[in-house]
Amino acid sequence: MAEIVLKNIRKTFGPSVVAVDDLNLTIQSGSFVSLLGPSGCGKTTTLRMIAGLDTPDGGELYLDGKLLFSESEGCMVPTEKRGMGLVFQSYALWPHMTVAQNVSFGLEMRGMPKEARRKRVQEVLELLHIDTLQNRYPSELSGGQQQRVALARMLAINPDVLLLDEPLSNLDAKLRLEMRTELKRLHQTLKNTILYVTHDQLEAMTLSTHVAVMHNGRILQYAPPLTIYRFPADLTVAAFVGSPPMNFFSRSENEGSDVFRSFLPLFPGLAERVHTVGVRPEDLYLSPTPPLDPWSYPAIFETVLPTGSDWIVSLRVHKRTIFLVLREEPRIKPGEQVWISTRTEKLHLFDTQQKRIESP
Amino acid sequence: MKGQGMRIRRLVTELRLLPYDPTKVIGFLLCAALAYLILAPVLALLLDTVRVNLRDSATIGIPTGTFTTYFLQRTFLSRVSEVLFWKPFWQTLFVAGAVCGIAIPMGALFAWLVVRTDLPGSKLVSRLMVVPYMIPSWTFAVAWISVFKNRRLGGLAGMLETMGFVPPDWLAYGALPIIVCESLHVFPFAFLLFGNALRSMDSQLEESARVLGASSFTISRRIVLPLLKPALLSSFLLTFSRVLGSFGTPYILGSGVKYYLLPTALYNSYKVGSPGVAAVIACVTVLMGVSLVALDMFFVREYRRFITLGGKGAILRKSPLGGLTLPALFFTLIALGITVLIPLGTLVLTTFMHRPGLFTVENFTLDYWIGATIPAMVGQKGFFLNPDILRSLKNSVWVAGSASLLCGFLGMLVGYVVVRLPKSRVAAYLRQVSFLPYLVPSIGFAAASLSFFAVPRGPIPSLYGSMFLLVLVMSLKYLPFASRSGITAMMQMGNEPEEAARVCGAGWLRRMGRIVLPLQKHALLTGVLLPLISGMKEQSLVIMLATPGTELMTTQILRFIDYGYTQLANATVVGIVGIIFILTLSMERLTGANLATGFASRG
Amino acid sequence: MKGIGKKAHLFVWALLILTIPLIAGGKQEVPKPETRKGEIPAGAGGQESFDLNALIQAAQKEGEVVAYFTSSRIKDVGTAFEKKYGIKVKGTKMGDPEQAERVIREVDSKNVLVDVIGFEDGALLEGKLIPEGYVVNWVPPDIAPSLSPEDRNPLVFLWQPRIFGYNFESYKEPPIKNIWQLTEPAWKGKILIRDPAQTPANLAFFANIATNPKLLEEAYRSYYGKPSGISEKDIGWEFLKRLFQNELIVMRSDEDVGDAVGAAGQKEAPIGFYTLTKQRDNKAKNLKLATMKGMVPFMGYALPTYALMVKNCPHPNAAKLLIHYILSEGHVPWTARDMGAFSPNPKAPPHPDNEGTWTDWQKRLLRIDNKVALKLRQEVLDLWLEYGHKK
Ligand SMILES: Nc1ncnc2c1ncn2[C@@H]1O[C@H](COP(=O)(O)OP(=O)(O)OP(=O)(O)O)[C@@H](O)[C@H]1O
Ligand SMILES: [Mg+2]
Repeated sequence: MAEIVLKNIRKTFGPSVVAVDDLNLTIQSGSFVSLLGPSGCGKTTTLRMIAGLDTPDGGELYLDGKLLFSESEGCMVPTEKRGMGLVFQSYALWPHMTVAQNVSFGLEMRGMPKEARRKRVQEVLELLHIDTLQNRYPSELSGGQQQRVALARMLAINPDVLLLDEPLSNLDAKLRLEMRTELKRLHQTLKNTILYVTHDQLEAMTLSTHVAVMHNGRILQYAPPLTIYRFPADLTVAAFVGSPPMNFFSRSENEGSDVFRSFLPLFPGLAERVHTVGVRPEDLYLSPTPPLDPWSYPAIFETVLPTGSDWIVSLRVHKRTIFLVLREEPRIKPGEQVWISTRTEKLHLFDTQQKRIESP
Repeated sequence: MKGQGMRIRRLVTELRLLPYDPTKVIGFLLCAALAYLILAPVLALLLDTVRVNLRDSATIGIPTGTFTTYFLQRTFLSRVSEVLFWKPFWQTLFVAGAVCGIAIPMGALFAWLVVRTDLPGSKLVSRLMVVPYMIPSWTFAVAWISVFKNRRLGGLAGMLETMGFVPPDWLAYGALPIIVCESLHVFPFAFLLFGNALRSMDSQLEESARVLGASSFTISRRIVLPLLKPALLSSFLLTFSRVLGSFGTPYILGSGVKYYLLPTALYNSYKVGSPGVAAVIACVTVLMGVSLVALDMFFVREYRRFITLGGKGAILRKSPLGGLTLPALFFTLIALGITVLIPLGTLVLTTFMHRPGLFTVENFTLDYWIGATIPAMVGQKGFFLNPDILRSLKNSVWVAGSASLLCGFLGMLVGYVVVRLPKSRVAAYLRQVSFLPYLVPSIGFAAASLSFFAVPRGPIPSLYGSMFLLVLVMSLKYLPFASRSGITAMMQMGNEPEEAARVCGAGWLRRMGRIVLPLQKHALLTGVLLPLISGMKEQSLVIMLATPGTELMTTQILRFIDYGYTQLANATVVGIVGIIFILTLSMERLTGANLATGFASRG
Repeated sequence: MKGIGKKAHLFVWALLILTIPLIAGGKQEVPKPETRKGEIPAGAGGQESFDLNALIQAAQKEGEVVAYFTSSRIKDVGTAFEKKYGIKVKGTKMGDPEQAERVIREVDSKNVLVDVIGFEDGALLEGKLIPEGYVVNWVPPDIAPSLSPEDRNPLVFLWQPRIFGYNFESYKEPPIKNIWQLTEPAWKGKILIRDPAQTPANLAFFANIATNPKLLEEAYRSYYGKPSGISEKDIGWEFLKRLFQNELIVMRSDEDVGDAVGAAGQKEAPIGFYTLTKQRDNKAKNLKLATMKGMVPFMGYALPTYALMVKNCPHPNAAKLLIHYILSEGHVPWTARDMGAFSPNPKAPPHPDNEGTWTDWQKRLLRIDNKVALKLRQEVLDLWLEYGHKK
């Protein structure tokens, strides 16, 4: 239906701020792609360029093979003609219009007759379970309701491409989960292409068919969520995805280098190339006595943070703190010595360029 | 070559996109318009100081258009420069200083009473305190002259003289009454500024000092006063620029004894037929205005560090007045009476008397309101029948009305462009130029516009004596306020509502009509009503521009005073004050804005 | 950030430079004289044939006439004129500087609104407005022969004495017998006058005093009984200086002067310099004004009001008809209804209270030479500013 292709897209603000740098991305028709990255990495800018609200400095942009923007051809299709839907982080509902008026605005702009408009508005509002709110003004709605109206407003025009800019970030945890489910359901029924911006990795992992991890205006990895989690393509992705974050032991690091050296015997052929070793907290095991695993290391138990379902344990290894996730409550007191261990296949190896080294 | 091709292509792309987002074009048009309407007149004024003007050429015998230092010499160095410039200059400084000396302590005292003590009815008092600022500044002068006028000015005797006491000249005219009247008008400024400062000052600051063992005196000297310094400096500079910009009061009270301040000196030079000298004086006032604002900005920046002090837990503890409650209340009531009731009451009273001050039954009359003829004023009719007044009323409404609409609209456009093109040169330029009229005192600004637009320029015919000139100059003079509020309002709205409409496929005009304007309705209403109110009482700005036929109510008052038609002048003042009260109240109703604070906020 | 600020400045300067041609573009052309379509040609000298009826017809076709006059009585004249000819007169009272400014602006901008001016500043008229073609002197040919030649160019339609007067309730006889008395301490701060700085005619008067040393010297000798000892070149200026130093009190209008001098019930009332017409108010306002009879060498000056057409005015025929009218029967509101003013047309009957005919009055008054006024006006003004404003 709608495939979006970004080629070498670049955007700078002023002489020094490079918001998006040489970005290449193909968003398959009907997929649900998340743009994931830390604050200020250029997610919103990318989205706005796709919507046509910002003009890129260079590169090309296609929708279904049709050129939307090209620096070299001097082509720029204005927002109004792109027919995409965009939901803003702040919702941007028009406060002087009722819910129904907000939703029917886009239809009106397309010259749809009044009766048809009314029907379509009803339809969309029902789809989002807010048909009882028709005559309210935005200020009379709760955050979640506003969010649905913002979504309904864009869904009303039935866009092939729906762009969502952190739509859930203003909601509380419970509502967020509810809306996530809703979004996923919508995507399954409507089947349009969705580009979803978020800095919440959980959202990205749970919702998307593909995740694009952005950093400093570039895409570091573009893959299905599980691939990203299991095989982070580089150190930054590995560090960004997962909570608590992956533990790293680096060659250059003073405190960690003893630990780092202890890993080396595990992958004899790669010893020269590996610069950093990472291991996820849930892949580390804890035992009160030295275990028999190929790799283990002594540590001092510091504190435990129970989350309810898990226990996050912080340990002191040499002079630094590392994290572990346990499924059961640890029976150890702070200050006691323990041993941590893991399996070789659970290790993530990165070279000096911070790129992933595929284990043999 | 390649770079050039790229640039052209980019330009073509931009042009193609214009219908969807013409912000840049609007921005450029605005820049050009403001350059022509604001920058050019000010430059022309500068030019007028060194180039022989049409009217001067006849008297000084140098052909029009010649460059000369004649005017500079005449103003600053000749045997008449004492009278033309230096005396008015020093007198302006003196009056301004004296007004500061009265108005600031007065304002500060009342602010303290209202904010920091348990004075009963302090809410009401603080609302009433700003009334003197709401009514036009020259109201006090008109009231004063009706009471204290003596034979010297001719025409109808003042009230006191009729009652048998002949006020000496120093009481009737000149420095003393000017200082008193200006002080009465501007002290609400200091009141508001000090009120805000005191309100945001945490009592805990004083209490901590007390806990540390400081005496009350030490506390005031070391803690309170330093924290009030910004308010003090701001009041000082504001008062100064007020005096520099006010025409009516020194005209009414000073002309009779040849006591001129810079605005009246400028006006005189212009009236006498030497626009060259007038231009030089105007430039001096502009320079003074610019330096005052620059100083103010400097101080504001310097003292910004203090502002964060009123933290979250700020507590405002009110000192009990105790046994002083009654005296303080009494004192406050008297002050309110002097500043508001007595002047207005006097004005109203005189309009019902043939000879103000003669309290006999047959001396009372309604002639000055509804009389078809007035025995003592040949050819004049009462307020409601007087063709001059009615015409000036119509003109005032028309001029202030159109100017405020134009101003509100321009202000919104400036706000739109500045917010939509942030960090662009266009935005920076628009911000600066639309602020420029704020630096230029009214009468100087009028002089600049007059000399610039009096001559046909390109497609624009000579605007001399036309109502449009009044509208134009007034809307430009108020533009700083309108554009500031336009920028703030647009900032608050943000880009997203409009972008959401873009995404929905709405073109620029639709976005404007359906989204931006409706959302800015409130701001626009304020942006129109504020200039409307100021416009209705504007005098300094229009005195140079109004001509017979384009007389406004405020200038008509001066004509009446010139002709000695005291009661008609006073009736017109009462009329304007009435209109302003109604407008102010309806504005507060409509927008919920508190005018007092709205006016006091600057730039 | 810094870079942006710099660019903004460059941008502002660029715009400034762009505006310079616009500012400089305000050219002031002197209009070329031309006769326009539909204007009845009738020369100033009265040589050509003159057909009043044709003028009336042409004027009526134009339907209205716009006039700026220094006197508010233009309104009364307008009413009578409209009654007689059915032509509406839009008359506005306006001072000399303002009239001059308007006429110049209107003619320069080729957007002339006014047809006739009633103007008192003869110096500006002869020094600028006429020579540079802003206004046209038109004398009705049928009336011209009865006017004295010096009243024809430019055309005077009204003469008024502006004189020193006093309060006869306060003083048994005229307190000033000789002009030098005005410079004496006894009258310090007691002489009222309309602000010379804003009254060109008063400046012209002072200028003409400066150029009449003989009269002043004679007056000096007759008053003090000895020669002044001041050179002929200086005596006029010396007199003016002493006069100005005597704290003249400045008022906004002759009416104010008259009111203040003439108010009843004053002891030691001030004296004043005002147009004789103000004495008409003696009845209406219960004033006690009287003229300074027998004052040496003159009681004041003859103040002319000129009537001229504006170049390229929109209603030239109606303008001529109005000028014709105020020189014949239309002078009534000025000269016949109240005292104090005279028509240059000897056929016009003077008011009985006038204390004589215009011929009698001319002997009591200084006649203004506009050329002198033009030349010395600025100097007199400066003298006035220098000494008249010192306390
Ligand atoms: N209009 C602008 N002018 C200047 N710089 C901008 C502008 N918009 C964005 N930037 C800069 O571009 C970079 C990318 O911004 P962007 O808004 O795309 O980040 P983001 O990934 O959406 O961040 P967040 O998660 O905080 O929303 C940031 O460094 C930002 O400061
Ligand atoms: Mg963002």
